[in-house]
Amino acid sequence: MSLPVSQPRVLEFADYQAELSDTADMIVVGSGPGGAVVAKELAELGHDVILLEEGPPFRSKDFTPDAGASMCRLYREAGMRAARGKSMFPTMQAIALGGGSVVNSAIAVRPPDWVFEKWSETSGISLDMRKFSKNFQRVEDFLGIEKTSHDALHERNLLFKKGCDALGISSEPCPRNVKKCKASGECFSGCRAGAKQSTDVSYVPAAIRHGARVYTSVRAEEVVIKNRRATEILGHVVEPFTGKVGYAVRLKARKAIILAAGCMATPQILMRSKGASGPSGHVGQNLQFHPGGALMGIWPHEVNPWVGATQGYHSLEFLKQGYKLEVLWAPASLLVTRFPGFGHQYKKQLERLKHMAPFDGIVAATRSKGSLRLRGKSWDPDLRYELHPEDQKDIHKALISIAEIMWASGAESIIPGIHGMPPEITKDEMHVLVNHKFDINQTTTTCNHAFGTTRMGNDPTKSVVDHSGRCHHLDNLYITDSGVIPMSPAVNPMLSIMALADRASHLIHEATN
Amino acid sequence: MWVGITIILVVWILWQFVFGYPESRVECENLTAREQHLLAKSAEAFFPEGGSLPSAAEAGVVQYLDRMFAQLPKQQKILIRLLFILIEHGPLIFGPLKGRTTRLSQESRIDYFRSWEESSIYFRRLAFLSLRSLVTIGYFSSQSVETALLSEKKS
Repeated sequence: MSLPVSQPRVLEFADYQAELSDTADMIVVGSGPGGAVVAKELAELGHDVILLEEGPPFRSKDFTPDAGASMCRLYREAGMRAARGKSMFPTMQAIALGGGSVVNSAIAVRPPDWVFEKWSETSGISLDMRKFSKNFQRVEDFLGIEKTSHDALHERNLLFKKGCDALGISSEPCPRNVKKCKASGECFSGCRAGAKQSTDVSYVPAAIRHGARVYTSVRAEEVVIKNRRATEILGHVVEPFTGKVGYAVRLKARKAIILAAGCMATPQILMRSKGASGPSGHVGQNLQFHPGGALMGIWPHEVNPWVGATQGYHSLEFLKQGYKLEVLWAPASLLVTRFPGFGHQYKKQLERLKHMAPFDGIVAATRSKGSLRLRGKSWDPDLRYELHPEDQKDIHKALISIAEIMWASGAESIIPGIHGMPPEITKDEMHVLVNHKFDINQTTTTCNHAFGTTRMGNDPTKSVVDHSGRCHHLDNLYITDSGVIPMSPAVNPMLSIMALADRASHLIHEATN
Repeated sequence: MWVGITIILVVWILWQFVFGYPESRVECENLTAREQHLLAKSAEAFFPEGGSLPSAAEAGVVQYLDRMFAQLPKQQKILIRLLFILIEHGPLIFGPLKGRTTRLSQESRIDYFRSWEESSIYFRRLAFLSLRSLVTIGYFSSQSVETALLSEKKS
């Protein structure tokens, strides 16, 4: 079966009644920030586009704040994916139309210019910042990115501002791709208010308006390569939530295939496709994250932390020192697991939740590296990651900065959640945190920004794609997800991924016309 | 005589660590009776009866986790089942040698869990955190808990 070009729409799992075959100018794999932008731009430029997504579409009414149900439905490996090393690093990847943009906190911030200078040093690619800035601007304008409005901040976010102001640390409301935020703090389980402008409600509909066909619940598994050209995508329909494999899928590309399945799925597709990985040996290597740590502050007054934008305020003051500070909220059940105590003591801690607020720090971790390998026939990869001791020190520094902001905003105590430290410390005991011999195994370090597994660069022996996202050794296979990012963008990567994808779209258009 | 002692010892070990689980008291379709029993006892250690917040039983933790278990991918199910076995029979490895976790008194069980939480072995702390996370997710799924804890949201 295939859809006539005259009837563009979204196909869902129940729509597939036979094997699927179709042909288009461009086939884009993945509907997250990297893929949806390319699909929309190329469709707008007049190309016939098919957009593939392994996950199902979600409507606002499908989301639930229940952490368990959300993890099982929205995240790969039911939210239990982790990279292994000296420590286990939980890392969450979405499986949904819209990809990671459905479950992130919508922070859309530009990296400072020095980041791109570092990218240039690493990759040998000098981005024309005047032109690249326009790519950022186009994405920002399309999504209506604005700084979080005062109405959406509430006490949790304002405490962070208060602490930063008192210490003379620069801070600002987070720029976000959100319209009319209801301040529900439910970003990580999907926006029930429909306020978040994730790609499933922004770029994907725009791509459809320009004629793109969207096939959801389709897993791209192999790229067929003939004479340096990517000609077909082979895959299967997969049942949402169970992953059961259904009808075979065969899609032919007249002009180009663009992989944007995310930096953990794209390398797997390449590794399973004959002749697609190339000779560099770098596919799946150079896996990088932004490891993060958090503290829970306790204030004398009621904070009601569950109210307010999930991550409405941040500080970019310490980016050059290697870390970024943010306000945080997540499903309460996930935040309270590090509370000390058992039984009635534990329940008493929970009763204090209304007085608490978590702040977090993410570190650039430019010295740390990991890798991705296939795990048999499974599409859940084997992830390895080792945190460099210097990056570990940055996490400790970030935690100290967070504590100082908490004290400056009037916190009366902090729950560090760090093994080997007292369960709760006061300002007078700050030296305990400062002098603590911090080790990564003493706390839970999440790694939610993943990139680098198909990095861009000028040297084909040290990178996978060139400046346009084209695989070095092939004429028309492109990658536009976070895998191409050569090193940390220092800030939340979504906007950078989208700007790179916007830039790549126009380069693909030029190359294929 | 030694044969008799050995038989008694084997029977005692099997009784203490393998057999003798009570029948399930809640309706579950996915978790075994042993797993339900372990979860119920663990949840009780975290969220006992009394106080202004509901108990684990009142919050329906086991029933919730039974439903959640059905939604997990195969590999995660295996890992969680292994976690349950490790926690349940951990006393055999880490002490106290009084039998499996569900056989311990509430006080001993809390001491046992505390030994996992404060262990110098990273893997033990991680395993314990995983169990605690599961139980806490189940606890917070309850409407009564949400109403009691996240009050402003409800109003």
